[in-house]
Amino acid sequence: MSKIASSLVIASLVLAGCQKKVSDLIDGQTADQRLSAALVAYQNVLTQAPQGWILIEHTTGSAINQGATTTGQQAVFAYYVQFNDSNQVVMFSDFDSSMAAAPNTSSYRIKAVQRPALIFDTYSYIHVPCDPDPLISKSPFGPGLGWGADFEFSFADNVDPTKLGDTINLIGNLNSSNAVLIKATQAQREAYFNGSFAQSFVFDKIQNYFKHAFIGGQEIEFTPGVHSKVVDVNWLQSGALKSASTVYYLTGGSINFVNPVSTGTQTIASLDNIVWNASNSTASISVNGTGSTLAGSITPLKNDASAATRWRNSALSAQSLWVSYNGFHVDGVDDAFGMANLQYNGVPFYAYIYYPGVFTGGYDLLSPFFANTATGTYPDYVTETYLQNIGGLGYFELAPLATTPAPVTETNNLVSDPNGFYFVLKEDGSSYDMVSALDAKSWIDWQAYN
Amino acid sequence: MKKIFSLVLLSLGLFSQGRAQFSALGPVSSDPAAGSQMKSGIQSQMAYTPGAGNILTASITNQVATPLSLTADQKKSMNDALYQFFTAKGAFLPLRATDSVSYQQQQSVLLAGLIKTLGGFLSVGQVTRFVALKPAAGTRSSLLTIVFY
Repeated sequence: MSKIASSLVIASLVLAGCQKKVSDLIDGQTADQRLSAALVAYQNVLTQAPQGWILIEHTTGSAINQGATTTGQQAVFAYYVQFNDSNQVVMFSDFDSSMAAAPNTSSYRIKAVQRPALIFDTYSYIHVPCDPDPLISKSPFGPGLGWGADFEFSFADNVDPTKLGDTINLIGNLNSSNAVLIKATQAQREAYFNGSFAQSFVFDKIQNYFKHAFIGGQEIEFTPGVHSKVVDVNWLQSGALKSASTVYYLTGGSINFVNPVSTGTQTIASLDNIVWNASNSTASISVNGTGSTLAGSITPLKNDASAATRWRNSALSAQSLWVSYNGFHVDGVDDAFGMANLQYNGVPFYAYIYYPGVFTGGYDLLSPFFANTATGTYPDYVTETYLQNIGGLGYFELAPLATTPAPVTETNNLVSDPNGFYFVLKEDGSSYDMVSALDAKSWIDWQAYN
Repeated sequence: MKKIFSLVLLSLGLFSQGRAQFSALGPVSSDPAAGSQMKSGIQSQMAYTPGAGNILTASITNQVATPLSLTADQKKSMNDALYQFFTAKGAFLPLRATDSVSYQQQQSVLLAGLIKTLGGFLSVGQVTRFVALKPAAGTRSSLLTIVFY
């Protein structure tokens, strides 16, 4: 009996010892209640911006797929986003002019993951650069990776959400891209919704490869960079051609350079107040507060007269070849002849090849090359050619070895154009663009393959 | 009912995540292994087989076979003659860009030699017809241009 009594006393002491005597409430709320309140506060911050937000996302240059990291080109993507309290978000994107013109509505959530996170949870413009299909993402990283962009972001400012200001920092949950939300002004919002933002894609709208503007007393040239969303900026300094390359993004009526370009006498960080003039295919711009006109040119600022010869000879001496994965860009259309849709005996197109000196006698080869994971093959209609540099331009004489399909015929017709081609060494120091000297509206990019 | 709705939403969310960042779609343009065949593929077609030639000589031989009414033996000899012709031409082809006069002189000599060689296995009439196949100067899209010019 005494044992039972003792046990009861001990048990009651133990239970008394477990009695909660200290409150873990803060401001009268449990952790769950505080978390819920914080998430509501974050959502309120996002929804209570009457003009919406500009979202600018900088990728780090790495992309993760199933734990494996691939490194490559950095990029910046800019969006206009307007959140409502029904978990819907309306957005525009600078990914291309169609996404700049038509608003997209999708859904979002504010959720506690490891940190409070903003999650774009249905496919939207923000997902496009994340898309694993390179035909959609236009990513140079290859299949399965996108650009290393994110669609789930953690709030990265270590402040109470009610104290967030007009700028909110985010970090991507998968690829650690850096993003920033900046409260939009009324003028910026109107630029997106009235279509003027879509008109600021002047690097695409002006169809000439070379685009020139007099800025600060200098003639400045803009040409396409090696990858999407990169522009090469060229200028003359004491007669010598100088170049710089920068990633760019578009907001409102501006093209913004991630790395401002110093041309010796001035620094160009952006082209602002862009107004497209469809009647003469030019654009009014302002740079550092001064107005100018951006217009297409059929000639470069300075032709690299030996480039065609160097292009051929460098591959010839290295026993390498030049490869284009894109086919010709003509009159504003990528792969205008549909080279990427070609097949040969059921094997899909892989690349368009220039292989100098490979034919008996030293003639060059131009041909699509077809490959899948099992095989790689040339067609029976490879084209024999020979490149000559005449007066600083490259000219091709060519003849196919058999009847060619339409995309190859059209490509051959363009390549053998008697007006010849400018060869432009790109800012990476190894790639070349081959630009029609007829009107500079057709070009193809070449990468060395060793 | 709410739970079912939440589960549906959750699964939709997971699906959308998979589509955008995690799923491995098949390669849109296959990344070969076959990349190395961009070189070896054409090099093997350039390999010369006596009588059968290579992809260049065989294409030209096929092009002239009908107008010249070539026999099987004549086709073999034509392949060999063209291969010898182009091999010799490779020694001075770069002069086209740097010394066109010298190039023309050497081309004329070499072409005369080819025609003489053809006379060894073609009839006089066939040789005449071969010479008549000479395209106009600057003609594109004819393989015979690189024989005659």
